[in-house]
Amino acid sequence: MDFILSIFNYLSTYIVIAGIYAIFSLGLNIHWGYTGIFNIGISAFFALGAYTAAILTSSSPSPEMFEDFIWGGNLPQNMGFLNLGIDLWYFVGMLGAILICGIAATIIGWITLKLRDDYFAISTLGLAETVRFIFLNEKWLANGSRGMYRIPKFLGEWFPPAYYNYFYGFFILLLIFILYLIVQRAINSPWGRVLKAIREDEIATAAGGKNVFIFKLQSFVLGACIMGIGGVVYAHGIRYLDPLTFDPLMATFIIWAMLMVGGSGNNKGAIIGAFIVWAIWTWTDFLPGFLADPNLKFLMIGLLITMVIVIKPEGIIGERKIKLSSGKSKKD
Amino acid sequence: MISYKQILNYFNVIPTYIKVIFSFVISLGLSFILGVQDLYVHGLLIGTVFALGAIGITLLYSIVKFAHVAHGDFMTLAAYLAFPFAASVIKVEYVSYAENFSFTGLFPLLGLDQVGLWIFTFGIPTLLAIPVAMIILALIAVLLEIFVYRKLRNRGSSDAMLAMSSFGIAILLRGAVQTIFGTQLRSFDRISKPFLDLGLGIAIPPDLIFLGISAVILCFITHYILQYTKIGKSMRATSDNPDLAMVTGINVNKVIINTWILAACLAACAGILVSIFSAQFMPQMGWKLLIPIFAAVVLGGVGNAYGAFIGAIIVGISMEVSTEYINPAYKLAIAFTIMLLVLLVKPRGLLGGKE
Repeated sequence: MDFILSIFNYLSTYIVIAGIYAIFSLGLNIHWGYTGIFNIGISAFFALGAYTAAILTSSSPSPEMFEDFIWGGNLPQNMGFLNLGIDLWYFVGMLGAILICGIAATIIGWITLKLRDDYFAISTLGLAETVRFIFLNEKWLANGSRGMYRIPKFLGEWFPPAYYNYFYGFFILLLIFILYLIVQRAINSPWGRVLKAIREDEIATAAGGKNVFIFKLQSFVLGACIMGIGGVVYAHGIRYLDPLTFDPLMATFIIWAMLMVGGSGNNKGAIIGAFIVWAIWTWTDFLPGFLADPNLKFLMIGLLITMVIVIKPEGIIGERKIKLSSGKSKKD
Repeated sequence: MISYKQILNYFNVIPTYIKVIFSFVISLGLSFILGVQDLYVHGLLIGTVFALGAIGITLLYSIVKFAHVAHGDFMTLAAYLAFPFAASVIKVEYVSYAENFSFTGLFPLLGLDQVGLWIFTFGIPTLLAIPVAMIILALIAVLLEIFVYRKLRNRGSSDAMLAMSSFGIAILLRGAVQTIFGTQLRSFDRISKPFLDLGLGIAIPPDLIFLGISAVILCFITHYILQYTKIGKSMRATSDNPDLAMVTGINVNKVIINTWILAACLAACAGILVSIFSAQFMPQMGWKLLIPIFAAVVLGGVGNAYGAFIGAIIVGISMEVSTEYINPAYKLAIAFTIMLLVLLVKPRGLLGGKE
């Protein structure tokens, strides 16, 4: 019985983390899968989202324990009128994160989206490193390298700690489903078709009278906001943040591997890819000796991305081909 | 009345090299007035090594039309390739495939274990390891071109897809380095030497002089190859118009391979020079160099080798001089910010690059 319970506990933790990555993968799919924006600075929006939520909802640090860390927020207690028994602060944090990520994406996109895709990528990389340096060096803001901890749980009083991950996993799956519906709706709209047209041929789309730059900017901001939501879910789920959380491997590379494996250009693929790659990532820990080496995993992620591009560029589930009606309309 | 635009037109008539020399002299003078001449010279010399990477990336861009994201990891790899040849003791610790062990590098084994050559901190073995690393890295680059990039190009993959695959290769190379050598700091054999006092309040570490001079020599060799040899001429022809080049009998695949070899050699030199100068290297080194190098490329105008050199100098100087005024931890952010500011004013870079 204990054995079965431990398996369930393990699975719930697996779902929480893989689910968080699935949210990032969905955001990245809007950038790369649908618009062809080459964003290798996912960790920037991850960090902005997570830190915004953590700073908004954490209680203020005690001055005896911290010298430099002086954030005096503690909004949940100071503004009790929003505390309606339900944890509204979680959603306030989420809105804040969406706002911050949106603003950052707009500024960076406005300057650099006019560049070619691959040079735009370097700007996102620069943004990611800059954001990480800011959180590392501005100790008053987020306690520098010692990190922020005891970030409040979402509805933490309602569930016993032993079973909390069951609830949170379920909540994340629900969130993924909602985000999936939103993204699917956006992509299947005329707006989404313009994005796909931009991905296929930018010049032709511009010739068709569409403002390519504005559409790319909108897509970049939407994807960045979804990544921000992923950051919020991470902050409240793991409850500990420090700048090392946002190193390029765990916050950018692995998400790229997830999207490429699952299938870029397909939202279902993006979600499934996250679950598959995270399974490979964690379950190789059980392999003996050499194979469980974390550095080897690094190599494997690189190999996985390269192999998928060379051998099976569409991933496990490729993009659904749009069926053009063969001349027959519904009328006849 | 002369309008603002007319004045600008007169300004455009001035040849670029005069503008460059003029702004160099002005900024050097300004650095003396502000009392940051020491940092200025540091940045100038470090900039030359960024130039080695930036020229490689910009050449690759103009020939194979994609941003080679793995260039930084090429540099790391070069340092690690030279390491087993040059270092006298190579400790391999905390790796998963074997117990801790150590061995002697090839050149020290052959009796070359000198350190502290002339005024510098390193010795002959490190110098000899540079061409070895260049050859191996060029071989790796050619293999990657044949087995990955050429396949993708022949299939008609987009430029972004090619850049994406180089991103995968960057992670792959870094993973391989980490798996084989571990993640700890490494360094070539060295002995500490005092800074050289050049007068006028400028004191620089002796290795920096070596770094600057060899980087400038390599840049001149690249300039010579591009302008006066058949290889370089066919490269420039291919970069201008690949179809026309093919019609006139240039073997484009061969040109592409030559470009990879040139870029990999420059990257290998840059990687080893940086690790000699900073007295240490680690697997993340190249990834961190990628931001200033790409900033230099975009700054000078993408696809323009001379622009890349000037961009690299500007990035190097501004990164070093900025440490006088703000937290040195934000050096990389400075390179990034300068790139953004220049893009706001001149979207095609200072010297004007390709579309």
